[in-house]
This record gives sequence, C-alpha cells and structure tokens, in this order.
Amino acid sequence: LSLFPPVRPPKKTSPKKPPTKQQAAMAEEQMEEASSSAAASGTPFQLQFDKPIPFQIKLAEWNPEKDLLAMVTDDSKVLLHRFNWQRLWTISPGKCITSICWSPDGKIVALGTEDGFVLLHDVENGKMLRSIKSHDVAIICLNWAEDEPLSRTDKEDLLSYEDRTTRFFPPAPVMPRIGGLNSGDTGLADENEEAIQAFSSASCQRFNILCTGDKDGCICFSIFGIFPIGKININKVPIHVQSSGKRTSYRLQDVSISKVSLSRNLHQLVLLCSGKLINTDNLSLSNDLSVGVHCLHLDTSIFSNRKNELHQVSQQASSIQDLVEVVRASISMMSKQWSNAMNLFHEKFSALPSLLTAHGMESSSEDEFMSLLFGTHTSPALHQFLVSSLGEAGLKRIAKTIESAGRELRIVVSEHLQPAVEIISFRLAELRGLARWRSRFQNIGLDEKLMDGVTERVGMLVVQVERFSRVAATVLYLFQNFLSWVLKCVKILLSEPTDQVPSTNSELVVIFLKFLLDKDPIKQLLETDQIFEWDIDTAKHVEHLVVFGGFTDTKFLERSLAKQFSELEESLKEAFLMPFTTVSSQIHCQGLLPLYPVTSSDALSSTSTPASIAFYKDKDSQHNASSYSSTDYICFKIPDGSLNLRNFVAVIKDFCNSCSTSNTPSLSGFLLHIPVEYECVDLSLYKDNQVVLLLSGKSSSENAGRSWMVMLQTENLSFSQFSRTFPANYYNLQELEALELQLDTDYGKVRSVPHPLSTPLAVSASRGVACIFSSRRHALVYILDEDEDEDEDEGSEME
Amino acid sequence: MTFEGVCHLLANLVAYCNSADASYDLAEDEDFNGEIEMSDPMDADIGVRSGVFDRYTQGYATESHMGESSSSLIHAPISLHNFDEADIFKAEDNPTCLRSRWQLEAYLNQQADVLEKDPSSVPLNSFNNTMTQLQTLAPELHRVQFLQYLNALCHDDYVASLDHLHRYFDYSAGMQGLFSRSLSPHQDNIVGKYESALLCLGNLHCYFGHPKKALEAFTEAVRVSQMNNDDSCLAYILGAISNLLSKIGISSTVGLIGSRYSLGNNIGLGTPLSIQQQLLVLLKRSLKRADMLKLTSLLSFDHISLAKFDLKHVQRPLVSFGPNGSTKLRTCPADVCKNLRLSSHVLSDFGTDGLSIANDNGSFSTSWLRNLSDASSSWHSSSTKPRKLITNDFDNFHFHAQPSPIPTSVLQLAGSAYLMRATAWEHYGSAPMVRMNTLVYATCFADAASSSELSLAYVKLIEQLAVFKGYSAAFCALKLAEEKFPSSTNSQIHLLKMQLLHERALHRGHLRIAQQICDEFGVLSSSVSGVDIELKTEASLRRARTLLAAKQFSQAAAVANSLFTTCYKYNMQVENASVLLLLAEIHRKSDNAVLGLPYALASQSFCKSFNLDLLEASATLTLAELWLALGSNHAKRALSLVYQSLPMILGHGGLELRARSQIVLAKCHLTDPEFSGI
Repeated sequence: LSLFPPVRPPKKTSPKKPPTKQQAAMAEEQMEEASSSAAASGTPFQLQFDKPIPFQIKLAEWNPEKDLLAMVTDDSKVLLHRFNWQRLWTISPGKCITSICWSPDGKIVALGTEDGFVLLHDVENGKMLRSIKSHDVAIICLNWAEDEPLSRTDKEDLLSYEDRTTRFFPPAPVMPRIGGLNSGDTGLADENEEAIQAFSSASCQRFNILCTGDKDGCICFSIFGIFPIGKININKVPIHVQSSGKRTSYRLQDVSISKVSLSRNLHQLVLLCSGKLINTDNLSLSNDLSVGVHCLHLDTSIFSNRKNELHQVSQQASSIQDLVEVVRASISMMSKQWSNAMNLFHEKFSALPSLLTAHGMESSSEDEFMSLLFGTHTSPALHQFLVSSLGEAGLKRIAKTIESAGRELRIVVSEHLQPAVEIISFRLAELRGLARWRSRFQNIGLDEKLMDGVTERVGMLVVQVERFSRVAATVLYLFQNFLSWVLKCVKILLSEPTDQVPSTNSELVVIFLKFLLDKDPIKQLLETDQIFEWDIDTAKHVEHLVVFGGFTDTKFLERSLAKQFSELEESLKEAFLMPFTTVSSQIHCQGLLPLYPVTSSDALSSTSTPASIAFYKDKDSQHNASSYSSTDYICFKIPDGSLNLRNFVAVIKDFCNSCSTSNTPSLSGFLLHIPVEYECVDLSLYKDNQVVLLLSGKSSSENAGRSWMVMLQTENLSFSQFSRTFPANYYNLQELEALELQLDTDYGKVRSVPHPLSTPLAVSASRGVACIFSSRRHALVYILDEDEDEDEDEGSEME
Repeated sequence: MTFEGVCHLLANLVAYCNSADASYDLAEDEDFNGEIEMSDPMDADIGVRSGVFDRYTQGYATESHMGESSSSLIHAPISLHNFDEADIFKAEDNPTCLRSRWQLEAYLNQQADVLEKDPSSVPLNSFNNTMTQLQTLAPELHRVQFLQYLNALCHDDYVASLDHLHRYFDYSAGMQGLFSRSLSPHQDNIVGKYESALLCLGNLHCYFGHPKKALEAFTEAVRVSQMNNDDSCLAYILGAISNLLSKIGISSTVGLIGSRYSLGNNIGLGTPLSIQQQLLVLLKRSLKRADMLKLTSLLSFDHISLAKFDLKHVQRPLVSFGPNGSTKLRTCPADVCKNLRLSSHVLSDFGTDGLSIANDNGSFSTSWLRNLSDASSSWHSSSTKPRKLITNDFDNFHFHAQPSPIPTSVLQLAGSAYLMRATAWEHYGSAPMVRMNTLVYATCFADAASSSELSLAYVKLIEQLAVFKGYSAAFCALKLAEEKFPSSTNSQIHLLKMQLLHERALHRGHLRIAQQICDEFGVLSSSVSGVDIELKTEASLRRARTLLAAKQFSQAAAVANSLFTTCYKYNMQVENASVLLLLAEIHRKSDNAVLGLPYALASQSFCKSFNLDLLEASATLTLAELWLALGSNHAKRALSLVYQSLPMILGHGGLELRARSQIVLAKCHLTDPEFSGI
C-alpha cells in the first residue's frame, strides 16, 4: 500500500458543483487502477488515468492556474473537465471553433471561430461574457500573454494610476431587462450580470494582451481580450533584410498564420505563417521555392514600453464601451416598451373617427371630447365609442398598459440610463486628463482634441437625458389624468358611482386633447431622424451660456436623445480609433526566417503541421530585473519531402536576438530524425527548455498501434549555429546537425503508449501534466514531473 | 361648444385676471447700472471683448424677473416655503364663487412663484398695497396674509413678516391645513394647524439667523405634532431642524439641543462630535418618515441634505462594539452619489402614486391660456405651410411648450441635485464634471430655478472660466451675469467678483488692490447680523494669502494658524486641509522647507480621508517643491511625487496649477545631476 501513489487533489478547482457520487467513485476507481499500473512498470511518466471519451477532440488546452482541461470537439462543442475527469460544463456556441486559449489568470477561456469572432467564456459556468468580431476569416491561433510581475520596475510603482471610478460611484449599471416577461429565470440572469461585473473588474488586475491570428494573415491585439489596440496585416508589412551591406525589401503574399506567440515581457512576437515571399524591389526574382513556411519576428516593444499608459487607457475605454452598450440597450428598450403601449392606445382610440364618419358627423374626435368635457352634449358616436367599443374594461386595460410602460420607462431612466451616462462622462473626463499628459499618452495615440469633443458630446447627452425624463414625466402624468377622466365619463354614462375614480384636472385634459391625442413626444425623442424646432428664446439662452463656457455646439437641442447618442458613439469611435491606428503603426517586422518550402498543393495542410513556440527566460540575465531578456524556441515538424527530408523535427532557438543584433549571430538549432517506423503526431515545448514529442507507429509498419511519448531536454542536445544566408539561399535548415532519436536511449524520458495517437497534445507547464488522445477515442492524462514537490512549488508559485 | 368658443371664454377670463396685475409689471424697476467701486480694473478687460459682449446683451436687455441673491447652497428654506405654498393654495370647492375665487387663487399662486423666483422684482410696498386691497375685497382669502408674510420675508423685514405670519394663522384658524398629502386623506385639518404655524415660525427665525428661537419653535412644533399624531408635519419639522443644524455651524448649538429638545436617550452627552451624529440621526429619521409617508419632495430634500452631510463628514457607525467595529475614517463618495441619484427620483417618480390633488389649484388657468394664443396661431400657420421641423409640445426648451403639470418645487429639487453634484465634484476634483453638471442645471432647469440657485450655477460656471480660460473671459462673463442678476441684491455674484479681483490682483502682483479687497472681505465677514462662518474663513484665508504675497511671512503664518484653530474648533475638516497647505506654502516661501514638510504631509492625509483629490494633488506638488528645496539629492523623490500628481493636475487643475506643475517638473530635471535630457 505504501507504493500507492499520491492522488493529486484537484487544485483550486473553484467551480462549486460537487461531483455526483457515482461519477466521483468511478473516477477514483479508474485512477487508482491506472496509476498503480503505471507505478509498477517504472516508466517515466505516471499515467493518471485512461478514459474513453465519446467525442473526437480537435483542440485541447490546460488552464494555466487550475487543473482544468478545456477541449473542443470536432462538432465544436466545448467541454471543461477537471483533473479527475469530472466534467464541469459543456457548451455548444453554434459556431465552428478553430482555436482556443486561456486567459493568463485562468478565469476566461477564449475561443476563435471560423467566421472571425473571439468568444470569451467564463470558466465558472461556461457563460459567454463577450463576443468580439475582430477578424473576417477563421481565427487560426490565439495567444494570451500577461505582463510578468518580475518585469515590474520601481518606475512602474511610481506611475501607478488609480481608477477613481470605483471610489466615487456605486457599481456600474447593467443592461436593462424586460421586467415580468422572464421572471422565471431571473436568478440565472442575475448570475450572469454578476459574472460580467466580476469580469470587468477582474480584468483590471494585470496587464495582458490577447493576440489573434487569422487565415488571411491578420493579427489583432486586444488588451484584456476586450479592448482592441492594434491590427497588423502581414501581407502588407514590409520586411527589410540586411545582407552584406545591402538592404532588400520583401513582402509576404497569401499569408496564413499558423502560430503566434508573444513573449512574456510583451517585447517581441514570433509567428509562423505560410505564404509566398516576394522581393518588392525586384518582382521577377520570386520563384516556386518562395512559397513556404516562414518565421517572422515582430517588434512589439510599444506594448512593453507603454504598458502603463495602455493599461490605463484600455481600462477606462473598455468600461466606457460597456456602458455605451448599456445606454444603447436602455434606449431601444424604452422605445420598444413605449411603442407597444402607444400601439394599444391608438388601436383602441382609432375606432372613434370611423364611428364619427359612420354617424355622418364632420367633427374630429378632439372636438367631441372637448364638448364632453364642457358638458354641452355627448354625441351618439362618442357615446357608442365610450360605452360599447371601448368600455370600462378596455379603458382599464389601456390605463394599466400605459402605467406599466411608464413604470418601465422610469426604471430604465433612473436605474440604467442616467447612471450609465454619468459614469461615462466621469470616465471620459479622466481620459481627457490623461490625454493632456502629452509626453506620455501621445505616443499611444490618445488625442486631446478628440477627447475634448467626446466630453462635450457626453455633456449634451446628459442634457438630453434630463430633457427626456422631464418630457416623459409630463406625458405620463397627462395620460394618467386623461384616462381617469375618460373612466369617470364612462361611469357617468353608465350611471355608475364615480367615487372610486380619482379626481382629475380638466385643464390638463384639454392640454392632452390638444397636444397628445395624435402626437407622441416620447417617441419623437427616441427616434434618430427627428429634428426639433426651437424658439428664439431658447436659442438665446443657449448662446448666452456659451459666454459662460457652455456647449459651443448650440444646435444640440435640435437633436433627439437617440440622435445625440449616435453622435456620441461616432465621436467615441473616432477617438478610440486613434490609439488603435497609432499602436498598429508602431509594430514592425524585425526579421524573417524562411523555414521550409511547401508545394502549393499541400500549402493548405501545412497550417496543421505541428509546431510550437515558447519563450524561456535567460538564466544569466535575471540579475537585471528591469529588462530581462528571453530566448525564443521554435519547434516544428518538417513535412515529409520538403527540403528533401523525411521524418524530421527541427528545433531552433534565439531567432529574435539574431534579428535584433546582427553582429552576434546566435541563431542555432538542430534537426531530429525520428525512427522510420514512427511519425510525429504532435509536439510541444515544455518548461525548462524541454520538448515533448508524440510519436505514433505508422500503419504500414509492425509498430502500428504502438505509440511513444518522448520528452527531451534540449540543453543536452547539441545546438549548432547556422548562418542566415538569406536571401542568397532561402532555406538552409539542412545545414543543421541531424540527430537520430532513439527510443530506448536515456537522453530523454520515453514512455510507450499502447494506443495509436492523434492530435492534439495538451501539456501544461504550470501544472506538469499532459493529456493525449488516442485515435480510438481515449484520453490519457500523464504526470510529466515525477518530482511531486517540485511541482507543488511550481503550483504555489503560480498562485 | 366648440374649442374656439372655449378659448374665447377663457381668454376673457385671463384678460380679467391680467388687468389686475398689470400694474406690477410696470412697477418693476429694471434699470440697474450699479456701478461698484471695483469696476474700473474690470472694465479694461471687458473693452477688449465688447464685441462678443454686445451680441449677447441685446437679447437680455428686456429680460425681466431676474436678480436676487442668497448664499445658501441648497437653499432649503426657500424650497420648504415652496412646499408650503403649493399646499396652501389648494383649491377649496366653494360653489358660491368658484370661478373668481379660483382665478384669484391662481393669481396669488403666480405671485408666490414670482416672489420665490426673484423677490427683487417685487417691490415691497406696492405689492403690499395690492394685497391689502385684495384683502378688503375678499376678506375670507387668508392666503393674502401668507403672501404678505412671504413678501416681507423676502425683503428682510423681520417685524412685518412675523406680524403677517401671526395674522395668517390667527385669521385662518385651522381652516386651511398645510399638508394635504398625508397618509390619511380624510384627516381633519384643524388638528394640523398649530404645528404648521410653529414650523413656519421656525423657518422665519432660521431665515433671520436666530437659531435659538428657531429651535424653540421647532421643538414646540415637534411636541405638538407628536401629540396630534401629525406624522407628515413631523417629517417636515425634522427636515427643517436638520437644515438649521447644518446651516448655523455645528458648534454653536452644543448646549441648545441637548437641553431643549431630546431626540433620544443618548443626546446631549456632550462632545462636539455627537452634534454631527445628531444631525445624521435627524436626517435619517426625517428620511425614514418621508419615505413612509410618501412625501416625495421631502424625501428628495433629505437625500440632498444627506449627500451634503456625506460630502464633508465621515459617517461613523452610530453603534460600534468591540474591536471589529469598522473604523474607516474616510468619507464615502459613493454614498453621496447614491443619495443624489435617489433625490433625482423626485422628478421621474412624479405622479406614480396617483394624481396629486395639490395640482388642481388653478395655476394653469393663467399660464396655459397665455400660451394658447401662440400655440393656436402657430397651429394655423402650420396648416398653411408644410413644416419639416417637429414641434415637441412638452419639450421644456420650446417656447410653445405647454405648461407642465409638474410643480416648480419638484423641478427645483431635481435641479438642485445637479447643482449639488457640481459642488461634490468641486471637492472631489473633476473639472469636466463640475462644468457639465452646472451646464445641465443652467440649461434644463433655468425655467424653474429660483434666481439664487441659478446665480449660483452661473457663479460656478464663471469660476470654471477663471480657472481654465483666464481672467478676461471670466470677467466678460461676470459682466453678463451681473446684468442678468442685479448685483444690488445678489451677494453671491458680488462675492464672486471680489474673489476674482483678488485672485487676479495676487496673480499680477497688485498688492495694494489685493489688500483693499481683503479689507472689504473683512468688513463683510465681521457683520454682526449673520454669523456666516464660511465667509469668515474665506476672509482670513485671503488675508493670509495677501500677506504671503507681500512676503510678510510671520504675519501670514499667524493668520493661518488662528484660522486653523477656528476651523478645528468648528470641525471644518475640509477647510483644514487647505489651511494646512497654505501653511506649508508659507514655510516654503520663507525658505524653511523642513518646517513646511509636516504641514504638507498633514494636508495630504486630510485630503486623502476626505477624498479631495485635486487638493491632494496640489499638496503632493507642494511636497515635491519642498523636497526640491532641500537639495538636489532629493530630486528623484521630488520627481516621483510630481509624476504622482500629474494625472490629476493635468486633468482637472486650472491653468495656474498646471503651469506650476510643469515648472516643478522642469526644476526636478534640472537639479537632477543624473538627468541627461535626452
């Protein structure tokens, strides 16, 4: 029993749902069985369990913070499993999912879809928090990088910036919901609201950037995954290559990005893409060979150099955008509610004019009501209308509908619209303050003039909201007054007692008849295409206020509330586009390394060639905390036939540094030859410069159905430097030293797996586990680090 | 009867009514060219901008009904009077003389509105004459007395107002109650008489600055209304008392409340702090009652008062036991925001609890008829020519807009929430928010606002102009404002003018003028009639600053120190922060940086706990200057301090502060030996 391996307790699995007893028991049983057999065999990786799963898994990714595994099935369902294989939730977003990644804090899973959406889902319950359309085509790869706390400097603390909003305001309003209609599931909706709130507040913790790369060569950057800050089209990025004193410009065509990785200091981005390399100086030079897979190094130092500024701006701007959505929803909901009520009212009261004509009378309904009010006489048509076609019940129904619509209007204005506009204006004021610090914020494109304009517009919006609430209060009161008067009249006509009806003001009835019976001032304010007339006195008053520092745009009272809002939106868009374009223009291509050519026929499949990029911190540079450097490792499988190589995997390191400092050519790598009877299914870089390879026996050989998982310490292998003779010779990976991989040697850890394997391979550096999938629909979870203590340290470090 | 027929009939009625008040319109004295001795240096600036100025003058030359002043921020007594008026003029259904009486009451109501809006437009004596005339014609109309009381009050005639008030309540003798919207509508009004009279009396004393007498009246009112179970009156009285407490300086009432009026068992236990607690208790009780009785106006007023309290005071838990009792010694701005939002509900919630009877007081019989002729003429014209523009008849910005059923008192309360917001942001430091909220007030509530509140809004706008656009723009606007609000009565505008002139004199180094204005401030503040503690602090603050500018450091420090003790005594923590900053500044200027440091730090921590962000930023800047004065080896620390304060200062600080911060920044770089400049 002492041999019994410790079962890893699920760490920090915050989801609250307890496993059903049966499930838990089963899982435990399986685990025991599997792990004891693993321990007995003495092989390097402990098999935690081997479970059948009823889906074909397309993508899988471990949560960086918790022992959770997110998987995407072939039919684009998303599953979240715990380490003990208990399933937490399943969602089917209804779109084809092409990529997946976790937020650095492990609270959000980001999904890239085939039609260019990024969906952000909550880890707790799988609810969608955001859906952002940043691309036009399928998103192939996602990478969410967080600024490392180690790179914090003293200077940063000094420039720490407090978001004052939480201090000065109660929690921000959320989208209004239609009350009463879905009262059954209000609990769920409340939860969702809380989640969104938690999301927006949690996203303010540490600076992080989500990179998304699509099939057409576009890369988008968004801070916290929600605020778009840059977009690069690789097809249009000029690539300058310095060789033997001559500068040549190149460009890539028909780019499809297959992998992006942003270094953890946010300083550099390495991407793998396929495309055709053309010389922009001399177009004739391009040949067939120029179509291939290339490795690009982009300089994203703007993110690291200006991360405080970007953080502050995006924090404010993303909250503003949230609130703008709240305002939009409020306006549309008010408009809907009110028009429903008005439709009922007009539908009922439109019977009167036709009755009048039926009775051969030429007067309007206004006249008829007026004569009823002054007690001259009640025409038969009006009598018929009030008593039979409208009736007491119908009248009460109208009154109730209008009252409830009015209540909704009031609630939306006071609970959602007004607070949202108030907080927007405060946040804009803060942003304007930041924009004034030109030396810091002009570099990232925060423009003072544009921010001034937006602040002005939001002020007008506040005036419009106030005007709307006043008009609404008046109109609602008049309706209330009129309807009770009509009710009283009906009761009198029916000779019923009227003491239950509240007393009414007959002057207000006249006002109603004259100005509200066939007009709808509330609706006018909620429509965008209305222009209001305003008189000379008001014009003078507004112009007068200009001298006192009022709004310089004195025409704003002509607009309706909805129009004013759309103007605010426009100017907001313009103001936020500025940082977007400014930052985008500061991301440059630093270097290019053609990896291997592909023939155009298999260009499509090349995107699925296994590859992995990782950045490791340089051990010797840690003494300088302010700017540590990191080394990039690129590991990929060379497709059979390309470069005349078969069954090779290449590992390259120090590509970025070789681009930036040309005098010390440090670019090095090696090739790994995989035994002929196996093929590499997937590979991944793992912590401490290791490579994990999945090898599966070829179906033709006798090893079919046997597979291996291999972990190699790259430092034990000999990296050989190779020169970048580009552009004289595009591809020179062959120069690298080729090593034979032997499955029984001990320069790495090797474990055989009794299944034919398929993609994907999911390894988690922070948790020290790997999950592999067999083509027979089995999932196998291995513990990569035997040293449990070390792993625990790692785990606690991540906490 | 056709519509036109009705119009005709009603138009005749209004003609009758108008003939009565035509004399007042003519009697109004529009002509004011109050030349104040200070206007000379000001005019020099105005001359430059006369072009702009003229453009805006024309439209306002004929503007009437403007000009009055009062310095209270929220202006609670006026608001309270307003509730009274609205309720007092409740129509009585007297079938014998329904029409004429109704019209008359409408007229009285209108006059009350005018009085409330700007008393200076109503001359005391001619108004009184008309009222007396009316009274002889209709002796049963006791409201005339009340109107006379209001008139006397507005013209600061203590004896007359007291007299009329007494007469009103003696004559009406319980026939007309003040509070119609109590929970039980059939409650007989006779019971509610005496306490209402006492409430009015209390307000009267409060207005004339006799806190002791006011409190006596209120205490009696509380006793009577408790005896008569008049809950709504009690709620109003509580509101009035809390208003009194917050108005007349906390410390002067220590003995008063404890001895006379016992709110509970724990009152009167002694320490000055407990007075603040009492204020809080009172406000909360009034709020609770108003909420229970659905007195929406009072509810809104209480919310505003609570916001005002929260703005400047740390809310301590009333009961705190053990070590876990929260001891967060900071103000809570989110509470202020919440209260202000709740107080704005008075407008949006208007009419939710049924039709209010108080509206049927005939107030429309005059106003809507006035507009009807315009409306119908435009109606006819619209039928002849097709119009593209849309007329929103209920838009308050539209001249033809129909009179709103919402009483002005409700609008005023909704408006003062915005004004209060602007004040709150002045404290918390967000210049765009101050400007925006004030503008919203000036744009949306100008029609309903009383002139004192409106002038306060303009004062705020002009202050913003002075700070952000420079003095010439501010003086240009000030000139316009003075025309809008006759300065003879408007102390607020007058004060602002003095402030601006003083600031500019200091800024330009005209010490003689600065000293002159300081003396004037001293005269204003030393008046025995009203003990306005805020004016007193401002006067001595300005004196200290003038002395500082004249480089008389020891005297300046002495003035500032005595000011600090005063503020401390009256528990004016917010003012303390700025006084401390001034002391730090004095020490810095007198080359005594080491002494200045503790003051600057103290000011900073005061600001932190009261959330005075902008003041904190400028304290940080002063701190940086002090460090810099200590030698070049502190340049790094100073630089980091400047960087800390820059976002606040650049975003919300005025031109002068911004310029100062840039200079300090440059100095930091220059003194830093390691700074290369590239």
